[in-house]
Amino acid sequence: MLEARTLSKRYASVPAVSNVNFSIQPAHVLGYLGPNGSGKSTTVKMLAGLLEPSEGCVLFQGQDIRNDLAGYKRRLGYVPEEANLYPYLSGREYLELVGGLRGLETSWLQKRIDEFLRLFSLYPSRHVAIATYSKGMRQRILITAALLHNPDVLIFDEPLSGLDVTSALIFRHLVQELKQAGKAIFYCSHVLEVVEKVCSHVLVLRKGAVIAYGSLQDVAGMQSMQTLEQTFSRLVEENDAEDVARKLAELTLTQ
Amino acid sequence: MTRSFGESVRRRWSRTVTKRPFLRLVQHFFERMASSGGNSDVDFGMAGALALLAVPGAFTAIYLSGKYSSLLQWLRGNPLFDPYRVCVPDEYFFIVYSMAITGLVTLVRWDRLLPGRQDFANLAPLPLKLRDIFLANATALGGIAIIFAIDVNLISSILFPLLVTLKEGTFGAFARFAPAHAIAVLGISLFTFLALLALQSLLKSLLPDSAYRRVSLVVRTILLVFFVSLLISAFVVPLSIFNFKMKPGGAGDWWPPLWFLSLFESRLAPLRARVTIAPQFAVWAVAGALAVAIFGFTLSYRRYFLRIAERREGPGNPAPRRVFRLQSSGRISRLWVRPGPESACYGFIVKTLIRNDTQLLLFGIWAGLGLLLAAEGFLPGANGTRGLPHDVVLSAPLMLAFFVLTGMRFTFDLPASVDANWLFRLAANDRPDWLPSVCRKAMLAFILTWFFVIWFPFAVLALDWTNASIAALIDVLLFVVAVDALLFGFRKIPFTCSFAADRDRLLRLVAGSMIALVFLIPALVGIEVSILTKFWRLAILVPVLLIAIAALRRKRTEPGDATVFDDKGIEPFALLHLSGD
Ligand SMILES: Nc1ncnc2c1ncn2[C@@H]1O[C@H](COP(=O)(O)OP(=O)(O)OP(=O)(O)O)[C@@H](O)[C@H]1O
Ligand SMILES: [Mg+2]
Repeated sequence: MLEARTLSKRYASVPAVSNVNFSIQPAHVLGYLGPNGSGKSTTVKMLAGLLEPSEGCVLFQGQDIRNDLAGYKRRLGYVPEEANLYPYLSGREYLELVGGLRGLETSWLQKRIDEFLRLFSLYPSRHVAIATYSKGMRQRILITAALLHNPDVLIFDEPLSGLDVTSALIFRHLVQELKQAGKAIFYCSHVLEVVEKVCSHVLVLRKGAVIAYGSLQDVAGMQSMQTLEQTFSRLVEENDAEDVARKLAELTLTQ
Repeated sequence: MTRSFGESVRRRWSRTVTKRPFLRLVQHFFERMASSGGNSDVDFGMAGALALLAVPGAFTAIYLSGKYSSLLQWLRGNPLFDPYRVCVPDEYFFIVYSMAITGLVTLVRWDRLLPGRQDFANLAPLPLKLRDIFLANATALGGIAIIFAIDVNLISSILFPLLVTLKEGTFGAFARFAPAHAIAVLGISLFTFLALLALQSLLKSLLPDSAYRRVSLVVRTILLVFFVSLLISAFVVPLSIFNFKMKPGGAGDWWPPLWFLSLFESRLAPLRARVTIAPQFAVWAVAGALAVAIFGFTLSYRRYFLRIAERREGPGNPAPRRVFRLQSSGRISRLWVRPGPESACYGFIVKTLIRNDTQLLLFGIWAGLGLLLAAEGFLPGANGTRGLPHDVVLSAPLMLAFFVLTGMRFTFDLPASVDANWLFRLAANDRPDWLPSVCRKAMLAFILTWFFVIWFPFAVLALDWTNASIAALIDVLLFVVAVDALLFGFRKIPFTCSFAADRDRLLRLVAGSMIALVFLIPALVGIEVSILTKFWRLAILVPVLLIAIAALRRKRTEPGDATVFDDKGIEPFALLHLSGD
């Protein structure tokens, strides 16, 4: 359903993503992993049609998304890495704006927004300006805005950031439900426990290049490791965590 | 009745808007430009702002009614009285006022004219054509510009023509005069708006991000000073004695208000003979500004908006290395402030003041006004004498220092980022002993540098060594007194305290400055001049100033309360419409 073909991006000739290939089918969740700065958000922006790839393309149902960008965005729900919302709107007004601009029918939209706000425990603060929302509240508004129009493709960039335990749990189950309902989901995260629970496939990125891609079991079992976490740290070959931690502690303790 | 009518209009509008996301988008941009942005404490709302802006024009028209009617009575039967001749300076005032107020409001909204990163983040993922986003923004901009121009000039456009054509007393005369006036004031408003829009969009599309920030801030500050002084001059220059000689080919050809004045005159038969600048010039100016604005707008759409995702947040490139500045200023500041918290706080104050937009802008406007006023005395012919009289040399640094100090003190109260002040809360909850001295040193640093580097050599040339040194001594003492007086009772760390909306503060600043300009500075200059004629008088002044400093400081170092981080009355959150459900 959604496919990346030889996707590459260079920022002023510095490569951020190089030659990434994957595809997501309906009822699949692709976990997109990688250390900070490995190019996850860059890929996400290209998938969402916000950033022009330097090479390669994104295909939706076999068509390059650039052919009909508006049509593609109509079927896409996107939760960006950072919530840069209009601070002077209330949560409800913001969702009304998003729904209105998506051309959703007003009375249906209003009912839906209220339901979402209730389920996400945002209803009491629906008339309060977003400027005063906490990080987790903003994140829930973002998630709601991505789900309002019942999209077929969902792209989440670190959706759990700022969410409390309950909301994170709710979200995790929601992703599983949506997967069962046949949505194609791209899930970019650092939280490996959640990735292990919700993803059917995993792709690991390092310095913009794919170093592992396959079903969850295949990737987790790579390098004859037990858990995804062990495989992940082996794969990205980061410095030995304990060693770095010891050095940091030494630095902290020196007068 | 009205409510249900309003309700039905709203329903119909929302139904139309649902079918046309483009209209919804226009509405959105409209609201975005009108809103205060959510982090400003003072917000009158759109209607309040429009009402406020309409007031001064109406006021002036009412004020003028005295002039026209009393003249009329006094000159009744006098065939020489010609309201058309008398009205030209007043018309000029309305034109300048329209230009200044449009310029000011546009500059206040400077950062929200063009769609930016926030718009991209929220709107680009939606199934909208990017072109529509831009066109909607342009539509909203055009709408706001027109509504604004009409609002500012509406009342005066009715009252003023009524006054002028009172003598003729026919509707025909009114119907000829009113459009001439309206075209001129609306024209210059649109021209000003378009020119500023063109300027900004060109800057935005031609400069890289990091350069744009700096350049735009400088340009904006200069323009703000310009429009503020224009506004003040429009009120202060006596209207009736305003009598400019318009010679073709003179400097007046470059002064936009005169283009529109010519346009105004060309449309009225009794005044047509005065026209020296071709009236089409104003029309061409508006058309030209529109063309450049459209060009710049499209260019910034292609070169800026479409590439927002490619751009980094914040300043892109690492700041240019300023090895020279860093080394020299580091060494000097080590002599000036004690290392440790004092020097850290000092660095914070100086950097915030010259880097943070709000502070720099306000401080820049205020200090810029001071510079303008201080420099005014040096204009050739300003005093009608040749050469520089002593009191101009003596008053200039006092004037500038006054504005710099009050400006700094005022911005000290404005938070740079309240979210970030936990740092200071942790570091300085009790009253730190270094706090008074660091504020004092920062304020003095902003004065003493130019005072000794620029003014002192100049004064040595203009006066002589002895006189310049004595004047410098007095000035420095005065500066210290002023700084101590301004910091009296100041228990905050600059830029870290939340700001309670307080219009009194601004009023106090403005009123205080007026008094200082009219009384204090001339008095001080008088004292200085008297000392320079009889040096022994210094022996009286210096002890007086020293005692004043000592008194101010003793008072201030009494054991006080802790550092203040919250001004009274900040709402924990803002409720929007409570009833809408
Ligand atoms: N607009 C930009 N201009 C230049 N370089 C950029 C830009 N955006 C990102 N980069 C660079 O591209 C690389 C990948 O960034 P990206 O944001 O995709 O990382 P990420 O995997 O999402 O990291 P994180 O886990 O921290 O979110 C980084 O080295 C970053 O510095
Ligand atoms: Mg990222």
